[in-house]
Amino acid sequence: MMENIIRLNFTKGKKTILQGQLNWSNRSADSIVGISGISGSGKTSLLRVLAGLEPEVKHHFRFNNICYSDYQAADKNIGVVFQHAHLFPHINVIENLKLALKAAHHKAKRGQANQVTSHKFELEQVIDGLAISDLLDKSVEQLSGGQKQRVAIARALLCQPCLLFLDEALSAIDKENRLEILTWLKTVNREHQLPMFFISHDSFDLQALADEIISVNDGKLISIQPIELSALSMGGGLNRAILNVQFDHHIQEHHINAYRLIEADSLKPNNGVLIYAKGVKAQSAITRILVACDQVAISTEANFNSSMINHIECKIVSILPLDETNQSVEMSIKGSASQMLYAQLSNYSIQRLDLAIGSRVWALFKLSASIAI
Amino acid sequence: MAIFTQAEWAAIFLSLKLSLYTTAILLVIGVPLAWYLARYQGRFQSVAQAMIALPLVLPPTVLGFYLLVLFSPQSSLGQLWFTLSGEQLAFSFSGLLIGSIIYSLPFTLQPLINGFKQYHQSYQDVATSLGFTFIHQFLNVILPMCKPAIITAAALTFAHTMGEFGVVLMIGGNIPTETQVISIALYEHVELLDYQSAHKLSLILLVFSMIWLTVLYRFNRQNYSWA
Repeated sequence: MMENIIRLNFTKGKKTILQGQLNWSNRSADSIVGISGISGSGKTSLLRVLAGLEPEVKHHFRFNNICYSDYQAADKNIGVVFQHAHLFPHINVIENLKLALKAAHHKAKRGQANQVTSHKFELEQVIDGLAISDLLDKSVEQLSGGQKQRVAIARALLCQPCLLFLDEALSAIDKENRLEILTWLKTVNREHQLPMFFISHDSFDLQALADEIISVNDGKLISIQPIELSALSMGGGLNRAILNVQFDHHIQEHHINAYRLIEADSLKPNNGVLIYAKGVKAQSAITRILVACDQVAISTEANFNSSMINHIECKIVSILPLDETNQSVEMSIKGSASQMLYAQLSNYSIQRLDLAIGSRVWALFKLSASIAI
Repeated sequence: MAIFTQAEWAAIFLSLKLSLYTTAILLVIGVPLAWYLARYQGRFQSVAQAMIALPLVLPPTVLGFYLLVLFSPQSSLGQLWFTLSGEQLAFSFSGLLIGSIIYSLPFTLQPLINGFKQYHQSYQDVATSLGFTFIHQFLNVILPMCKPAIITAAALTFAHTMGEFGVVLMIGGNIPTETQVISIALYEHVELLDYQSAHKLSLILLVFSMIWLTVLYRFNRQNYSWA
């Protein structure tokens, strides 16, 4: 197992900007690390230090057997997408992209630069993937905020990095297009074996993409946890179940995909449970489905006469109060050792259905295609 | 058909030569100096700014006078120059060139500093993260991005040197083909009450400056705003 280390102590004068140490092992070499924390907690500082953009900060950063802190900033081969795209204003979009190719060329020639790369990114491929082919001849000031961010992502990939940092890189992109880009980033991550560090204030983005979550709070590195474990601590947002699934079959006439549940620990498909979601045929074999707790209804008996297409037998594992009127019900899926579902239910419903820990229930929900990543 | 006399042609060529040399040398000195000053935040910032702006407000004769004293064979600089080159610095083209470089320095530095200040830290972060070392960044990003500022600096320096008078008069005198530039030749014509020749030279300087600046502003319009 690869041992990863982040250790840093970032101070300005007497003020501590960010400090702490994390050690962890990757589940896979191309894992996506989400960074979560309220604004001002030090998320951006973390990425800036690791990318070498705060050269005076002493730190240690080792990831995937590469000791990045041994390299100068320009030699690290970490691609960075900044929150504000910062495209170069004196050249148009395609020239901005070609400049990144030129930088990659310089890096490859430079002996002291980190020469580890992911699978090569081609110009046409990133232009297609980010749907920016209509923007190539435009000047930077003609672009909207979301368009700038797409181009900035393309540019960061074209410098052929072996690690990609994204700092709120999708914040200016509207919800629908964001899902498209999230899906594409996930595909890129798997196909190019490109690990990513990913800051987002949006718990949905993190749960959709991240394999691990680094929590940052008040200038301290708190922890790094697998995404499944940190789901409950994802502050503020709705609690969502993350289901790892494998595409099984497509029901052509209704535009519905059927997925088979994958066990998180063994990565083997669970033959008992099928999950249905609207949509065209999924691209990648293994995808992730997010089920928000407020979209799950509970029935105490098998009820197939429902418009909810998914009805999954579960056992209640815990019931925790959310606020004065609502409770969060955690359920384990029957026949699955690791996969959970969550439902947000009112006190009234819990009383009426007489739910308790150990109760046998059916979780009912429907999924729009967009939720499958 | 001789519009200008031989001496006048010599003065015109001397002015062009002086301007060309001054511009070339000032760009070589000015680019790194302006880059440094654009980022300098230390306690001597105001002093540095004042020193750069000084030639703008000082009567050229004051600057010329000090340079004359400095260049004289009695001064250590004048002596050193004499030992090295075998000629004296005052009343020579080399002396004139040094004077012009000092006198036109603000016209090179101001546009360059303004240009380099537009290259924010965030652009530098992007270029670094893409994998450009500083020197590659300078060649591939900074210089192209600051091209309008560099052209402005060069054009203003050239034009300003063409129109130089006070400093030249003090340290260069009026030696044909050595220190007699257009403005000095013009001055001589007026002193000799040769108004017709003075008109010719004045007109050529006026027309040159007008065309030069028009061309500069026409082709160096910043067609993008700094995001």
